Amino acid sequence: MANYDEIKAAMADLDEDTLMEMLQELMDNGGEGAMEAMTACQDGLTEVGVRYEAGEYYVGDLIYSGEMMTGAMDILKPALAGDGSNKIGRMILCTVKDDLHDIGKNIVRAMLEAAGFEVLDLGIDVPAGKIVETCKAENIKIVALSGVLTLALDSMKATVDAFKAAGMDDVKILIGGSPVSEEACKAIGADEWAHAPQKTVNVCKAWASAA
Amino acid sequence: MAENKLKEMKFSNFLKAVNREEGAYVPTAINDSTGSIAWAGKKTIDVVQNPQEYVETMTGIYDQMWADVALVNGVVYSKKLEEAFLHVENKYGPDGVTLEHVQLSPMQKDEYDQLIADPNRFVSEVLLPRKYPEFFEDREFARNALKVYAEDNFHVLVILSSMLKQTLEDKYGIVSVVNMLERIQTPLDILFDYFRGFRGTLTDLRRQPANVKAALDAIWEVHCLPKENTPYTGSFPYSWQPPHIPCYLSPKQYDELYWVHEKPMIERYIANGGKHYFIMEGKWDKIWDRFRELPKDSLILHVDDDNIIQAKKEIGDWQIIAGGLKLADCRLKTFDQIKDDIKRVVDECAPGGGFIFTLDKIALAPGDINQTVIDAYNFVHEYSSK
Amino acid sequence: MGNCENNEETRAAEVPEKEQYIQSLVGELMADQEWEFPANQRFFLVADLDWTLLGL
Repeated sequence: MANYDEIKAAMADLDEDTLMEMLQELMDNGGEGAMEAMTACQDGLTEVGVRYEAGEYYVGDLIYSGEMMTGAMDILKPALAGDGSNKIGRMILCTVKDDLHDIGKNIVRAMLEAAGFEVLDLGIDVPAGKIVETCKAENIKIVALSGVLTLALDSMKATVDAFKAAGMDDVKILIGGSPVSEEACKAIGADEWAHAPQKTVNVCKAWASAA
Repeated sequence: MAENKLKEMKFSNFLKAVNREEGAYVPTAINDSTGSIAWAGKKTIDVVQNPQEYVETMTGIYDQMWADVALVNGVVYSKKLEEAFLHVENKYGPDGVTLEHVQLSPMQKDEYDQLIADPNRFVSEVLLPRKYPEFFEDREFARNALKVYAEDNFHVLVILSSMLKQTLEDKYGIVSVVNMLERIQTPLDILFDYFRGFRGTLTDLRRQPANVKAALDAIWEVHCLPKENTPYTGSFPYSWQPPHIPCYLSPKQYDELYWVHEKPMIERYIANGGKHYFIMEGKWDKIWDRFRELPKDSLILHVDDDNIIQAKKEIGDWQIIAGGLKLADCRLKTFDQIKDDIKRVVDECAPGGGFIFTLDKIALAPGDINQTVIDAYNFVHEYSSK
Repeated sequence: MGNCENNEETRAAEVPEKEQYIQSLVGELMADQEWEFPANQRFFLVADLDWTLLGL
């Protein structure tokens, strides 16, 4: 019988070897408790976020924890019900028009997926119209827009305006990346903003559970 | 000549500030790569081939905007390199103006042994062929690419750079205080920028820290030390450094893996009394006290995401501080909406010298240079003038 | 004389294959008299070329 507290602790402590060993042992013993183990991993991931906010962990640790979570899911998937994952929601993620940067976006995607989201990654340099149309077609209510350059602020505003023009006020939009701020968020009309990937995950999780 | 007097006046005022004396006013500095090209309604990829047009486009703004010196200024790449090599990381975006960096990270996580054993061999035999397969498969392709590389670098880094510098001095009295060719890259930034990329480097620090350390030692030994062992005889224009990874590191990682190389590299550049222009990209408030280990006023620290007033209070007594104008604010607000913030920055940072007013981030994209920026620079010059 | 030839061969053997390829190209281009770009302006080809190409 797996010790779920130890699984959570291994994730929280970023002890990859111990975590993978415990999960593999669970699977070698027939896979019973896989869903509970997955939940323990996600609880550990939440603790990672807490430690990051407290200044104990840094950005590299967040990325690493996302990779640990992906590894955990790969081990447990055969024993999990349904499509092998515990999806908490679907969302769109992209880098906005005229911005080609994708490093931050890709890191956030990994962390969102690790947290249980099904992420529709539209890529880079994505015009507002495409984001709106994809949301409509896929019935998605959460959108995260990424950008590194200051020109991304204009594209983010164009995207928010496009959603308003389409009458899609029920879609929640978060803007992320180095040029964003509380003031930028207000000026652009987005619902939330984030620099740290952990905040993006926390906000999107809150939106998903409120939906 | 009136222009020379203007240059003398501006430059001597700047020198007072960086030697911690209060001058006649707070010096303002250009921090612009291609923002002013867009402001002039043009595209970088169009103007960069015509030196005269390039210089006129880059400098026209100073007919309206006061600036004393140039920090980072101008382009360092043209589109021809992308067309010649196909797989470059620095490319012009869809707007034809903005140079964007798209990381390729050619090194795999299980290749540290090769890097550690012989970094030069690893670069030439593994990474370059992986990044530029056409270059090694087609000799004519390679010849053409190298020709473009030689011609284009000369065109951009020598001709355009010197013409821009000369026009700024002659016409506007603006001295370029940074030598773009004297740049520090520490082994960890090299690993980050050239080899493993953002995600790879940061997770390698967790998964294989001993390999990362050994790789840094190897890169230092083979690539950095030969230059480090050659005394630097210059002192002006200043050397510079755009660190990339430090803002993602813990203080302990910074000390053990970055500062250990960075400090002697800076010391080499400032040995003859020169200063080193240091862009604190991201947030540095947990580590900027390391700069107290270097001689007083040997660094010009460019404040990016940190609070500049906090920077002035915590490290500004020891090193020169540059910054104060938020580029994102200038895009979103009018000058009147940010005027009080600017006043406060000047009031808190200017007394006693040691402060240069400039944009927090380099102007790159359409809209980065606008009326708010122009008004802000002009205001600081007037407001701070005695 | 035999020893000199051996030493040159040894030195050539120490330069790995792709690096030899790059160096041969650079050598050709530096000596290319049909290329109109002035020879004294071609110095970027011999300044830390490999690592700079990696960072493009």
